[in-house]
Amino acid sequence: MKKLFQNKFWIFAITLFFVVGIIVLNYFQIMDSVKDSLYFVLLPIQKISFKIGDSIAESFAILISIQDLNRENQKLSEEVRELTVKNVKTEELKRENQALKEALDFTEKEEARLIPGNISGLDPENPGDFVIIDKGREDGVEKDLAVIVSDGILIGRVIEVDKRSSKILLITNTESRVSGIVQDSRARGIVKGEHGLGLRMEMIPQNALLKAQDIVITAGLEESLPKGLIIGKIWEIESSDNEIFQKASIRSPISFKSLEIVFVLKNK
Amino acid sequence: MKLFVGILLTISTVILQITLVKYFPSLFNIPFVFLISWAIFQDYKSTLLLAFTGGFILDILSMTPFGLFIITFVIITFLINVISHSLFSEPKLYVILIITFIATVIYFSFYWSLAELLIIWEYSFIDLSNFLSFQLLAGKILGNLIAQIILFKVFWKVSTWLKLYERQIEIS
Repeated sequence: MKKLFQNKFWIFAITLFFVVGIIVLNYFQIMDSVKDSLYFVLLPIQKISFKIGDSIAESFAILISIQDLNRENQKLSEEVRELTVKNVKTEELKRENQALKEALDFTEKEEARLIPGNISGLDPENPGDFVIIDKGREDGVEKDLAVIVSDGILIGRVIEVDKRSSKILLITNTESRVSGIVQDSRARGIVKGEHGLGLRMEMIPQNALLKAQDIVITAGLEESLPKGLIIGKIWEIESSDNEIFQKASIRSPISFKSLEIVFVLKNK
Repeated sequence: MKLFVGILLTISTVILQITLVKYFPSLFNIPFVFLISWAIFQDYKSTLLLAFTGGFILDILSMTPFGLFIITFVIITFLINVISHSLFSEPKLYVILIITFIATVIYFSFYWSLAELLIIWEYSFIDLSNFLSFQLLAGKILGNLIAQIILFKVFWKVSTWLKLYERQIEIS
């Protein structure tokens, strides 16, 4: 027996057998309690390391981007002016809309419940594709629910739920598909992720009038994705007479790299 | 003592990886690079244990099917241990870099082929063909080599210290 264990290949084979055993146990969800305990220990450490990393990155970013800040500041001031005008108009439209709703006896949708969660982990291999949040089954998170940031900006959907944590598939993942509408022209299309880097809207009818800076929102065709969540703004339009559909690259108003607090959207 | 230091270093590299991956996406795999060094300088039993520990934690934190990192790490580091111990007595930096280069290529091919297999079984929505590119492999090799150069000096010191410590225990 001793000789058997002295042979390194036997030990290697036993280790592999053990590993396969663990994978099988995980498949039948017997490993869940072990995973939960490890999450419990690792996630706070990860949070701290993220904060340290962020503060180091921020100090570097400040040094590099002072010039950019000036330019951005000017741009933002212009945008604020435009938005103020828009806001006044929207307020008027809101009132008008409210009156019409009442007149038509429109029933309001049930309010959704927001489950706040902190980003506590990134995928070690594909950081732009998935994130882990510190809210799970215990907090009411369910598979396929939409995940947003506070302003109603869509960031992804829940793909895996554990007891105290959940894994989120970001909309920037290549496999993410969300049906979207361009707010102004009401043109529909499919918003896909681009390797964790950006977003792209496809299948937009050729006759749809698109322009840069148009806002794209969710169409509400998916069961768990309500209508009207902001996906992003059109950045560039790709249109050709030979093609049946147009394409557009979309920029989300948020930086997926600096996500901190997100909300899981759950119907009451 | 050696195992304790090893496990602590493995966990630290995993945390470092998860922190840095935010700023340098898909560029390197620090736990893997660390395990290569460990496999070259240390015995196979501790190598297997650390490969298992590192793989297990990464599997829990990553979105790829559970078991992918453990299997990849255990098999590759064991092979490195067996080969390097029979070929080199005191490997130099360039030897370690060559091993890192070959190991990264094997890791990349093995990881994604196995992932394809497991994804069909568990996660049908992930299309790995998007990640399989020459640029990504080249980037990963470069990233791992840079990480190895940085880690090598640290690891060399830790390894020498551990050997001294073990000898002292043997004497006493």
